[in-house]
Amino acid sequence: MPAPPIDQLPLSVPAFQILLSLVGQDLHGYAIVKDIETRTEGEVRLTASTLYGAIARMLDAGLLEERDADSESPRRRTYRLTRAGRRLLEREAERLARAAEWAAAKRLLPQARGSR
Amino acid sequence: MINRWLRHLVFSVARRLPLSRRAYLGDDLTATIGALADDARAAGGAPGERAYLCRELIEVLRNAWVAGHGRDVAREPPARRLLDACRDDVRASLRQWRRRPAAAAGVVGTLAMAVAAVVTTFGLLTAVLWRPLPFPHEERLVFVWESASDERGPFRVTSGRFSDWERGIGAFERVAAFGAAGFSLDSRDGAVPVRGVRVTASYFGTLGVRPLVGRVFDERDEAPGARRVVLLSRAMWQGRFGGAPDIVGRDVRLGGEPYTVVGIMPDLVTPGWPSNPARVAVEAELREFWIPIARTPDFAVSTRAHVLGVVARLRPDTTAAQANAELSSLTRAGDEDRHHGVTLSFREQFVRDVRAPLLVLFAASLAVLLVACANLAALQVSRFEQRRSELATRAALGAGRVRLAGLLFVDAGLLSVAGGVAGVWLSSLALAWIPTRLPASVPFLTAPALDLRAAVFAFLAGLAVTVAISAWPALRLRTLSAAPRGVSLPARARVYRGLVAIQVAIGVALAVPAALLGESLSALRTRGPGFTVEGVLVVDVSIGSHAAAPLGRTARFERDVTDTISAAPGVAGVTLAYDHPLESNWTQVIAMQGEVPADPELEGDVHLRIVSPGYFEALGVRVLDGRSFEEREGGDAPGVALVNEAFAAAHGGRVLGRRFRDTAAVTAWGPAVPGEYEIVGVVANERFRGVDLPSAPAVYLSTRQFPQTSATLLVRAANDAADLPSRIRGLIRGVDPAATIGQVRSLSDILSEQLVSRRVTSGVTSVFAVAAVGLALLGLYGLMAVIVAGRTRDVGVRLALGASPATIARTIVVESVGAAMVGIVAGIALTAVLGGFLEHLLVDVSARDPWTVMVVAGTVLAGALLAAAGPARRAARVDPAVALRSE
Repeated sequence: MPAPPIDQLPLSVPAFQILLSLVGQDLHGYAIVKDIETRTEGEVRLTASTLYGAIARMLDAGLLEERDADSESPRRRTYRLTRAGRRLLEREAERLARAAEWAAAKRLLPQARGSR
Repeated sequence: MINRWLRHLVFSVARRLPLSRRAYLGDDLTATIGALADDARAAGGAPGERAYLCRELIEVLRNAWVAGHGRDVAREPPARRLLDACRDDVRASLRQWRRRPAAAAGVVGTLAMAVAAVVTTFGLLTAVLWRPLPFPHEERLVFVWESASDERGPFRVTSGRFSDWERGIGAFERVAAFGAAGFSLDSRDGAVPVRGVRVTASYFGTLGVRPLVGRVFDERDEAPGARRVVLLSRAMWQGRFGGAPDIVGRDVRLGGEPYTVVGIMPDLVTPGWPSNPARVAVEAELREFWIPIARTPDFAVSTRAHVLGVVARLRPDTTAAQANAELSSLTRAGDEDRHHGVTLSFREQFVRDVRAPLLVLFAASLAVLLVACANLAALQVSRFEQRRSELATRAALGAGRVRLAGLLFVDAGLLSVAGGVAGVWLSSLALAWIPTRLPASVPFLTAPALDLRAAVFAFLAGLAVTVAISAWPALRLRTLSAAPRGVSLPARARVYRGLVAIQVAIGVALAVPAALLGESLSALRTRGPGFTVEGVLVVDVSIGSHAAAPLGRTARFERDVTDTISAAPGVAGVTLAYDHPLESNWTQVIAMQGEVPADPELEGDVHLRIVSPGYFEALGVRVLDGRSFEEREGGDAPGVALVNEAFAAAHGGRVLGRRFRDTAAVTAWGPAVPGEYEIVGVVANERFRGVDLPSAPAVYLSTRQFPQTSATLLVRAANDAADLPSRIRGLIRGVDPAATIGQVRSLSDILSEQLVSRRVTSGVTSVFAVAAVGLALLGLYGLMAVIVAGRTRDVGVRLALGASPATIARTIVVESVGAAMVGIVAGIALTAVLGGFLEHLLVDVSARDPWTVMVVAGTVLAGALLAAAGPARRAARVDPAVALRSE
């Protein structure tokens, strides 16, 4: 079965987390994995191949761009969110928020943590 | 170590991951994997690193898979493209069949039945012909029989001849003799007969058979006067001695003498009870025990009594041909080379009687499969025509001819896989069931089962079916672009008609032999074996050895038992004989007065039948000439004998009043009985050698002049005496409480047992024939339906121009009969060619019997008329107005 396109909602968990890690900072591959792991307190741990599979497709879809592309060292080759990537991430976040509201309306979530 | 290896593996797979078109991403990936692995090691040591690497490996593989499927179809490897295409074709095919579930079930069911028939008969055939027999190095085991230079025989062996072979044949590693043994055994129901095998000590070693418990015989057990020892079969140990654990070492009484049990033998089919011509019995009830043959001084030299069977194990480096050469060059002094030994392989010995029927069945089942194939091929042809526009569209959209042929092949393959799987399943049921229905005399030395060979065969059969039924449509693919639609009826009907003719031909070629086999069977059943079978009960009775039962007592027992039973209610007749009418165990060389004496060493060719004076009347054996025995002609009267027609014919026809010498009675009883007999009557032939074999020369002596201590009591029941079998034992016990009484059986049961192989062959062939003819007629019906459907417009025109509906119907019927006739003629020709193979299975009917052929042809023609009826009526009812508007 072919993989679904990377630039359509809903985003896969790795894609969402990768984009989220790159908000406000440019990171190289290893740092992205570590950032996700720390932020989610170990709940999401990407393997390198999943990470690079996603990065490759997000580069093709124009959601990311490379910085320092001619560098020989992977440690110095970092990725940055494009405008398109940022927009997509915002839409996904909104979608998730709405989903959380619908769940909360059914009293599935503790009220105190809601945004209102 | 493992981790390093794992890391290499992950790296090498990861490098092949298609990551966009940016080559450097691969380096980034491996660098990151390295960094993450180091982290995992720092956090969790070597196990932590290993866990991470395994997770990574799985992900790499999954990503590779997903990436592979997301790729451009044109860049996929051809194998995957083929697989995808197949999957699509399977889906398309399933969709088509799902729309017509009844047709699909019919097709798969037909194929399943045909495949089941073929795989089952193949399983039986391989089990009998090729499965290894349960003896180590069975290929080196042979039977050795004695043969005379005048082409008689082969027959049983004398102990003297066996001793020569034991000493003088270098090709034999070991050689052993065996013979029949019958005793009475005391049981809860009084004395009962038990049957076993007398064997030389070398018997079990030659066969390579070991006892379950205890030991087999050795040379000391053969010495005359040695302690009597016996080996019991597992069945006898369980059945008659309750499986007593301490049986070995105990004494059992056989024929009134104590025998020490030295061991228990496993349930193996071993040869016993040799009989002429060169036969051995393998039934379990004939090998309840084994006792050693005593090597009396006479044993090594006696060449009179042909009673032994011989088995030999060839040396590893010799062949049966070498053994045969040695056997024929080994002659006794003064022997003038009249006798020699011949070997027969174990398998040949056991298989020769069932090979021909099994081959007939296998051929018949193949014929059914062929008919089914032709039937389905015709169906596929018509489906192809129906799908023509769909296929043409596919071709127009760029599907190549190979691709479309693949579509047809997959469609056919789906049918054969479904039919094949169902068929193999059915045949595995059948193969489990069949051995339980066969009599013990059928030598299934190993039970048949669905084995690898049968599975491979089924696969090949399925492949053949697939190719057969998709071939013609595939060839027609090239007409796709040329022909628009609907106009190819002539071409289609021609192929269709050919396929139907093939079906009819095979159906006829199968139905004729089936009918002939059925006629043979009913001939055997009805033409009469030369005596009454209905209502005759058979029971073996013995009052012990000659020592225990002197002449007077034996004669008195016979008289008393006859009187008592004939006076009992429900008895229409009673008589006594040494053998019952369907067997003959005693052959003799007799010296006819005025003829050159026969070679005394020859196995006797005259059957000796010893019967009560009332035997012929009680069993309805006709006295053709002269007279029957008389009650008053006892031991002190001059000897009298009757002979059968075969004997009279062998001795010039006029035998009344002629005399012959026979020493059997004198050997048993001494001078109290006559040794010379005058022939006073000639009786009709009894088929005592088996109902399907011609009778042999026989002489009848009276039990009044040759009393028997062991004989068969024959009781003819009146019509309303259903409980007679259960009363007979009590009646005999009443006369002599110590008598050994065997099972009460009916003559008709024994007769059907003799006919079982014929019954099975005939029955199964008939079923196959009916199936084949039925399928062929179904094919014919399909053909007529297609023709009528294709001609609707044509018929409409003719009706509009004034043709009567009856004329239209008639043309359809004529066409159907014509198509059937082609097949019938071809089928008859096929029968004529193949008839020779069947000839020796037939009785009283020729393989080219014109009546049978005519009846079969007539039946198939009637079927052809019936098959045409529906389509003809449909053609006659065509409404011209509708038909002409429809195009």
